[in-house]
Amino acid sequence: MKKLNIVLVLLALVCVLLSACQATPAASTEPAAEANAEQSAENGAEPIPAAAEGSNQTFKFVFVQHSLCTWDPSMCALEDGIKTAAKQMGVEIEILGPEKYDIDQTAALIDQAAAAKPDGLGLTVTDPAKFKNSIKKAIDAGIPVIAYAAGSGPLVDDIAYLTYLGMDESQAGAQAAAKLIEAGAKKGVCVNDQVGSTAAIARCAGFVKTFTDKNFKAEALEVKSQDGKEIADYFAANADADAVVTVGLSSAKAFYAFVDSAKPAGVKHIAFDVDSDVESRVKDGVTLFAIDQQPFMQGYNAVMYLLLDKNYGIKPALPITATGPVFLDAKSVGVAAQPDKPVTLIMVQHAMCAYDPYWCVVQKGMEEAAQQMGVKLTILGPDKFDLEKTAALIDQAGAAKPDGIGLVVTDNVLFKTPIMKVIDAGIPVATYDTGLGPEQDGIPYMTFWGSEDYVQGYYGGLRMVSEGVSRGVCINHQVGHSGLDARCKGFTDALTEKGIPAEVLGVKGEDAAQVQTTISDYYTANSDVDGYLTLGPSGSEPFYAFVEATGLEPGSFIHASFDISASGVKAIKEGNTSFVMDAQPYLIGYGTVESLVLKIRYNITPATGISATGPGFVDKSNVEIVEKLAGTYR
Amino acid sequence: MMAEKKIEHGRNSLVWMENITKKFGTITALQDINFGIEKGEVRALLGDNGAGKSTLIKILMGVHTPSSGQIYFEGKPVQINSPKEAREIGIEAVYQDLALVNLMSISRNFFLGREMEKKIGPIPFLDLRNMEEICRNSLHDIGIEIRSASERVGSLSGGERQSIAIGRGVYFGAKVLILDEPTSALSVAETRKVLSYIENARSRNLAVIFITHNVHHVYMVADSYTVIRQGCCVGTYFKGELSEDDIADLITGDREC
Amino acid sequence: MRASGSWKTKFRHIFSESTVAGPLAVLFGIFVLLSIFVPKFFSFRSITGIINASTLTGAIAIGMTMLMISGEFDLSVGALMAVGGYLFGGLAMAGQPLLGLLLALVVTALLGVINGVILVSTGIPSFIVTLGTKYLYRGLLWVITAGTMLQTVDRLPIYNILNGRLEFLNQFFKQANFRNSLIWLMVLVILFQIILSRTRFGNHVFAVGGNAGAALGQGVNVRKVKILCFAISGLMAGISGILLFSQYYTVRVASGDGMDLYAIAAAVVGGTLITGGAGSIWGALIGALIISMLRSGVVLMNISFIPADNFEAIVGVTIILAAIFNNYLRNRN
Repeated sequence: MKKLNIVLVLLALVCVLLSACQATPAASTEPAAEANAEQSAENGAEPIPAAAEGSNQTFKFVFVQHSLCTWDPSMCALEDGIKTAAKQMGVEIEILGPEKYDIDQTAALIDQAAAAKPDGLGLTVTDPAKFKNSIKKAIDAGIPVIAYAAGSGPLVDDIAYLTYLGMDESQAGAQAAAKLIEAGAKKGVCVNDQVGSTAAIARCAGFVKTFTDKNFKAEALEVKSQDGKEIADYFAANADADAVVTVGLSSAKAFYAFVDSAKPAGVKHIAFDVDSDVESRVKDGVTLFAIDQQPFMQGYNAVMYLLLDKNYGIKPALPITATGPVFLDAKSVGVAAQPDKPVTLIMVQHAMCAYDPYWCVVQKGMEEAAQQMGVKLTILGPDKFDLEKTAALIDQAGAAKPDGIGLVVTDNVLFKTPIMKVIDAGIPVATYDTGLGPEQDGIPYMTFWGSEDYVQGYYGGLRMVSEGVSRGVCINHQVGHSGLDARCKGFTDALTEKGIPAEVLGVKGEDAAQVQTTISDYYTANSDVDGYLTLGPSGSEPFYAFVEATGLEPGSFIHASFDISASGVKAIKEGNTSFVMDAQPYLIGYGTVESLVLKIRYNITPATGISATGPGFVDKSNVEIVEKLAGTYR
Repeated sequence: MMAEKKIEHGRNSLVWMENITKKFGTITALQDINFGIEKGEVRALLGDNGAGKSTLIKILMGVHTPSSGQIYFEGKPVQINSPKEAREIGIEAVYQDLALVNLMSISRNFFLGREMEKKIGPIPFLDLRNMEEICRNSLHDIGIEIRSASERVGSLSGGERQSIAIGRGVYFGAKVLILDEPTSALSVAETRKVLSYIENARSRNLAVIFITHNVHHVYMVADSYTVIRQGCCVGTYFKGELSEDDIADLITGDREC
Repeated sequence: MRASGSWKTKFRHIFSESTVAGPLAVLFGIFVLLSIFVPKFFSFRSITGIINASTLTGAIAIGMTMLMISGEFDLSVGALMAVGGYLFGGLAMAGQPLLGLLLALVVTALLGVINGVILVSTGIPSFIVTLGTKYLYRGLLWVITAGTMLQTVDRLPIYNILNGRLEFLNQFFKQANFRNSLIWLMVLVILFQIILSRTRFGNHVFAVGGNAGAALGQGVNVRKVKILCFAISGLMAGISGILLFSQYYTVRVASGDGMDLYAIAAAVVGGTLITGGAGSIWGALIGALIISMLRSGVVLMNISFIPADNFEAIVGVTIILAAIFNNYLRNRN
């Protein structure tokens, strides 16, 4: 019995030692209860125009717009964003546009710009049909293309540019309608003076649909003049109308003219786009909200994403990268920008680069953004995984009263109190890597930089559809794991939405031979399957073995997977894999810093609760860069 | 009044255990026991539960070592420190449920621990055929008939199993055979069979010690019997000296060591 | 009359004497049923798929069977498979495949010995001991590798030797995917079956599992036998890890998770007693094949199924039925 006890005690000791060593391979000497802090300081409020780490050349980006600030004030904020970003990131830019609104000339300018073979191309997809060929030519020539201010995203426009920076117009209209209904509206009217503008039409469509879905009445009203008479006539004829949304600045002018003359009672108004006039009306209470697309952010992000693509092969995660709608009320409207304000940021994480290499990539992203934007950055984290310590660090960060805080929501119950303290103190908070978004976490931070499994699966599915899949299967190697299940659900939902049959195949992930045979059997039983999604190496390795054993030729099927790996890179190069989805940790860090600084200096609010960094597609176009940078920047 | 005529054994007996005392901690299981047995003698070991019969046997088998005292085998003092050493001397024990592996065949059981091997090149393999033949033959010699040596032991009756264990002991040259309750749980016919094999063993000059509760069986086959009570040896008697009732008294009665 | 009587007894004799007959009959029966009722089952792609799906588990089941016959279990085989995969893969990737091979075999065998030593010195049931060492070994692996997955794109010749395509057979059968691991597996099955049924050690293994007390009484070194069986179990898990890496060029810390129970299931379906003392290596292989065959059959039947759990249930039911059937055959005497 004695021997037994001794052995048991020894075993227990070993287990305790092991679990203590779990997160720290290196022993760390800790003087006090204070957690180890990682410092990463950047000095100076002056933005340092340094070229991005890892590249010595200066890139040149060209931007082609359907109008220019010089004659269309609504583009001025946007161009300011482009110029600011270019200066901070050390890129050369050129902004082109016609002398007056002229679609054909704009198209010609796109060709012209592309022919000069710039390092990146940004443009307004004002008329997708007319611009399609020109843009395609640029993309085929290997020039990364990004869209802003006008467009519906690569999937809807059917042009493979990186992303559309702007708004989902009909969604914005819907959100405006929802806010009006919340305020008590029962009959709405959408005032549209931009005849033929797809954006305006979409805004009204979304607006009307939301009203009618709730069994209220709503319709669109076309106006031609800015004197407000047509609106006055409408209200005379429709005395029960009590809510108005104006699609743009000029229709807002018309509405204000009507208000000034007719002085109607109880009409609630939301205006798309902001100028000083709208600002004062919001302050006066005439207008409930002004909807801001945040054109500065569009311009800034256009440069940012083009550069990230050139340097690291990082792709924007979603077809539409929302810069709006942001609803500005009396408190938040008209806040002046402070472009040169010195900024101090503190980041709090639950793990650190020193012992977990994943975080090194995140940190690199943060540091580069901090350096470009000229802000001071400090990263705090415990010396081993310890939620209590991390929560304490959040308090510590808040006490230091920085201009902004980034943090991880590893435990939304434990962290809620310290985060709320920070938010209540008026410090802008952005979260990253771990979190569910402000709604699901129940904590009203600005935004979460990371990726959702469902979303990744969904857009992966949509991409597979665009590549021509006719029947898809999602190979889940760990059924019951909520993240993996969500990925498959997103995938199958996307395909089903497009009328393509898809289902989930569950396999025993840890027995590679069994997985391979199950996939093979599935293929035997369903030989019309041509789209395969695997959720990680547990699924992709047996899949590759299956392809090799069955002799399937690249091109006869489409395969996508998650997470970058050596064999995935090889498969992309050989054509066995079409794309791999990555969470892009570099962007996680970079984006968090960027959104905090934009908020602090320019009062730009992230438009979505979740700023997706994934799915970051790795395909033939960026696989070389990704392979080179794996582990460092990717 | 009981006529006690003890049989005396000594150092020249086949087995002589002299002044054996065994203590387990503070408990004295055996106190100055003297026990001996001759070749060809069949001895029944009697005593109530907890009297010390098993302890005495285990000492002889090498499972326990005596706290004090000395064992003599064939006239020489010996130390028996393990069952292996006991077997090497020639003491074999047959425990009821711990004699044979039911799932294995008769011949594999027979040769368990002492398997016969034949070499193919440098590698030794089991010589199954030889084992089977020898097994069947030697069991036959004892009077045990089996259908096939490759039959599983578990499919045999209790009595057959006992007989195989006995036959094994005999074959491998045991000089002393110790049986623990060999006939409990057997039918009358089977009991007879087993007792006949014990006879056979005796006729080959083996000494047989068997532990039993059943005084009747003592009368059937034992030459003599030893009574143990509360760790003391009451005495060794020829059968026939005492009636069954007398024996029972000896087992249960009060008696100082 | 007499003729039919002798057939019946002959039949009965085969089933009661041979431990393999029952499982073999089940295998054959399921094969026939599936061939008739499931389209595309009877094709070389499917059949070789079933064989390949059984290789990794089959290797582990060899060691597990021997250990179970001796009366013990080893739940750490999955972790040991990962250890073997890392040692072989890591060193092969560093240019030392043969050293990796050697180390993978030696280390996993040693870790198996540790299992055995803990068992014999503490008397804790092997189920519990290996439950603990399973987490211990995986934990150690996690710490040493920092959780990094091992993956290579180099196709070294040794991988091909171990688990490459068996072109020699493949050329005869269309769409077949026979692999070299099949050869290795057969060699190991035959080797260990011979050890089990034709050597002194094998006899001791059966005895120790059937009645350890009796074995001890007959001078068998029960402790040594059990420790050796644990060593074999560990060794086979290491071999399985080597085969894994040779075919899939990848190993992760989590690799092999669940293989322990799968191997036990294969052994039981193949006629090995949970309580020890009886079983055969062939039976284990057959058991692994039966389970794989069922899995493939279910997928090929194309039942509209919700996640994997559905066909796992069918496999589970069959495992129970097969075990009952084998037991029944054994007890009919």
